[in-house]
Amino acid sequence: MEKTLSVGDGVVLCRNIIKKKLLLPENVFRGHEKERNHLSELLRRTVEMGESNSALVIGPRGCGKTTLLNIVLNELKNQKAFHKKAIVVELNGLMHTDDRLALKDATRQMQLETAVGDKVFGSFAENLTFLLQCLKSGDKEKSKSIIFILEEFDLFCNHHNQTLLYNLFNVAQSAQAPICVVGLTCRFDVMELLEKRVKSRFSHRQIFLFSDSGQKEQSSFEIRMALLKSLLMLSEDEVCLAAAVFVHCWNSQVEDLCMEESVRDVIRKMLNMDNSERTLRSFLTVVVSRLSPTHPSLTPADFLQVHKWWTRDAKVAMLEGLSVLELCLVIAMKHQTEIYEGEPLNFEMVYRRYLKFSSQNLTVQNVEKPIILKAFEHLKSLELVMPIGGQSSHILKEFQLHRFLLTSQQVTDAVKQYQGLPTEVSQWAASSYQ
Amino acid sequence: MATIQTKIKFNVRKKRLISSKLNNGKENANYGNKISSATSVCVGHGRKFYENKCQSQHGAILLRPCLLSGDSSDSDSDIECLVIKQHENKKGVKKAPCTRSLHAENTEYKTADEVENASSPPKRSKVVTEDCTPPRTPSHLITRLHLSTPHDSAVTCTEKHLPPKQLFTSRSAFQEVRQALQGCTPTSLPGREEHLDKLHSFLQDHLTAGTSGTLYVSGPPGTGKTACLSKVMELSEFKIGYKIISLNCTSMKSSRSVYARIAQELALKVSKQTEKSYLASIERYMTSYHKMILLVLDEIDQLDSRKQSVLYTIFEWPSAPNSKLVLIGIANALDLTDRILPRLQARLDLRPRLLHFAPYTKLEIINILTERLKQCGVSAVFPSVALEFLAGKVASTCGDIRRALDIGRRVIELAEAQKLNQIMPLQPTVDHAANTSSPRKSPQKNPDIKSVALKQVMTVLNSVYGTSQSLVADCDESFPLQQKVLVSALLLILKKGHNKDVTVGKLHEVYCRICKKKNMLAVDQAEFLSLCQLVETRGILRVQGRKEARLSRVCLQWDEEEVSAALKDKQLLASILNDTTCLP
Repeated sequence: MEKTLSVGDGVVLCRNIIKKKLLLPENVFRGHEKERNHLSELLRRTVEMGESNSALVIGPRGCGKTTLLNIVLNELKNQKAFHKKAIVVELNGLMHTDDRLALKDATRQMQLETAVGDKVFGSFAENLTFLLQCLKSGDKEKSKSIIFILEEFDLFCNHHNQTLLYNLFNVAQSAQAPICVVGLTCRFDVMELLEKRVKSRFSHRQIFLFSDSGQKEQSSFEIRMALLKSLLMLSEDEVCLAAAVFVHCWNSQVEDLCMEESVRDVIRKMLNMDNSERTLRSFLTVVVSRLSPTHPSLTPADFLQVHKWWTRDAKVAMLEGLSVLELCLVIAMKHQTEIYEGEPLNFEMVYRRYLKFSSQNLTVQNVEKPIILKAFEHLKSLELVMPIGGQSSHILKEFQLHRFLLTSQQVTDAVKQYQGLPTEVSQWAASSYQ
Repeated sequence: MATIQTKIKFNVRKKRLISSKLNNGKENANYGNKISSATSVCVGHGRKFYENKCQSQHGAILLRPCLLSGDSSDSDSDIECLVIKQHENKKGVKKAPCTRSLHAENTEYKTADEVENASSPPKRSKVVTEDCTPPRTPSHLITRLHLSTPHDSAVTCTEKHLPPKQLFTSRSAFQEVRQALQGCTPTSLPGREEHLDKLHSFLQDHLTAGTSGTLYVSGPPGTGKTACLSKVMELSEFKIGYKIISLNCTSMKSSRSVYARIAQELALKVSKQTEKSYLASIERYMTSYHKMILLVLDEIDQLDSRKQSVLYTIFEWPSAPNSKLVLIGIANALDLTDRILPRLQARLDLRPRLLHFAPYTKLEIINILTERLKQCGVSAVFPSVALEFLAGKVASTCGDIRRALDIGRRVIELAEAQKLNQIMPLQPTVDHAANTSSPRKSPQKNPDIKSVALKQVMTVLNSVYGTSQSLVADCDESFPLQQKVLVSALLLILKKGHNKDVTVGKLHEVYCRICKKKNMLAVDQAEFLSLCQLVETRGILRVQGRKEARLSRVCLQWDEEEVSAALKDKQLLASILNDTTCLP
């Protein structure tokens, strides 16, 4: 039975499982033991004891704020009495762009009397007073505790007068229905965005999430390698029995890969740039996608190749797709900015510099001015040059001042990589005069 | 025709459920009927006729179960069935009166000519008698909500879930303290006796004299303004003497909607639901004979409007003859009435009296906290040294009692958590599921009095009052190397460079030079920008003007000295900061 699975099928199966693991939200949380305990304790007390609380979870993008909260909530939801004792209301600052929308959705999610068939009646003011009356009439003994989760918390701070935040925190402070307000944000200065009365009502409980700051005995690189290993490895129970042999092979392969110096180097480079887990995950997704029946195992070359794509300069890649004439204009602009030290340029200047070059080199064709202008317009539409002070109609196109948005290094790289560039042009690009 | 429609309205809804599944068939049947009667005149469209007939037959078959189910549910459909059968006997299936009678029930599919044709006279009287009870439709619930007949109540626990106080008679001291420090208003307000007296005498004077007056209460948040006022309002003499209206102005959509709320609280009848009519009716009420009104407006600065018309209107009400209105406004700004309402100063009778709440001093905070702890009989948990330390810190920055209470609560939490760890050394903290199950048992194991250590207070205070993030901790592991180099490059330019105007392009140049010197791999422009944005999320710097990446400005958000002091500990970064040759 076990041998019936061919290698190709095993690879496809493995690829699918690993990709699922990488892309879907996780239910296992690594690290941040202290923060997790703090948050779960907070929510537990809200639900069980009827205390009112407020907290902010702060951390850079992709550090697992939502994952942390989801895991803590799932833990709570597994308890039997949770659904009888609490309601979770989830709001997102990107979707609920003003208080009216947020309130309507909150009313709907709390399943209050007026929310019939998912349709909430009444104006904003009516909704707000109704919600507040409901919360006020509740108390510790009888009413369910309500857990408000505000994602993109900083966007809620931009609302008019911060009405929603004020009212939520006010309920949390006064002896009304027990609620817990948890805000998730990536802005570290979020406290400065709050109005003073809102700030006073907030409990100043900030939970910071940094990547694995808890474990000091290991270096962050070792933690990263362990994470890589655990993301790529397959456990026996994840795969059906038929592929057990293949899984064994695969895991030993991953072990070997992790010891490979070039792979470690790539991971180290990436870690130096960005230490969020999400970057690693999306990187690995691309790597794993290269697996196929014809290419059944990962090699260090895969990592290197993907890393090359990953760190590729988009502007340079764009320059490689230009025509020779357009590249000549880019070189002319580079010379112009170098000579005049970053002064803005217009089409006429670039044109004159180009003419100077093309008149001396017979191999380069002499092109009409309108065509060069068209090439210039194309560069503008690619945003390699940017007009200064917007598009004003009373200045002719040829005399509109522009700023050059590339560095000389980028131009030099592009010239080096350009296929079939005439020698004169590359020489012109290298020379610092003309 | 119209009368028929109005009469049969309600029965329809009841039967919708039964008949809705068969709507499709019915419609087809009806359609078939109409056309078949029309096409029978001109038989030229033979095929079409055939099709329609097929449809009508199909419809007729489908209709049967509908009638049967109606039969079982309603007694009057018996008659209907009888009628139908008679009709069938007389005229055959072609006319199909069953569809018509069903359609008479179903308003949605009723067209004008069908109603004219509908012939079921015995039904009408029956239907009219049926709809005496109002239906439970959402719109009806809404209207009841406006009249505020049902008491709004939060969703209550289905489980009879008693508060833990009764269930666990021996609640741990920590839990008692947490309960004591919860945000509810206490019965006594230490440190605010003077203000209470003032408020009391103000209200008493106006009540006995029957005159109207204005009071403006100001003070920073968390100094007990609202608590004092609500305590005074609780007194029975004012409860009887005044008609109290207390509103929080933040819960209003616009400043003008305050009139609607006041009119609602006064239970005024308003002809039209516009702000103008609300205002007019309030003013009419003022001039007529009425009880003394006490109008309390919390967070009154939210009523900001163009030319301050709302605030002026409200502040001018007390000066109207026999208005008998005592107005109390609460806000944070000391000089609100002078700053945004200068016209009030012109007339003597309009000028509001002022009452200011100063921030709590250290002693007052200590008094409040000890009072709260004493009420629960657990004052031993918080030693006076820790209390003093906490109060001193809070009083020196804001004097906000909410913050003191919150910090106190968190200290308790910390102490509790650490206690749990000490008691159960065998149980690892990592195993959270095991931990949660037994927190209540542990205090019983050692009943000796637990107290809070000074160090724990310190930890919490640091987490609240420290800068948004301490850089020293940041500099270790969790801050990627390239980002550190980026920050030091920025610092280098700011400290040693000539031109303080830093753009991303310029920063990148300096950064590349540094990397070259230190033998590090420099990232290119596009990656560099994303690095900048990553550092930005930490709040260290800010990139302004996102549109043109290379030209957007970079500003340092943190204090220059603080950052450089933190970076100096690191050898690599310090050497970068001292190397001016990398500058352009």
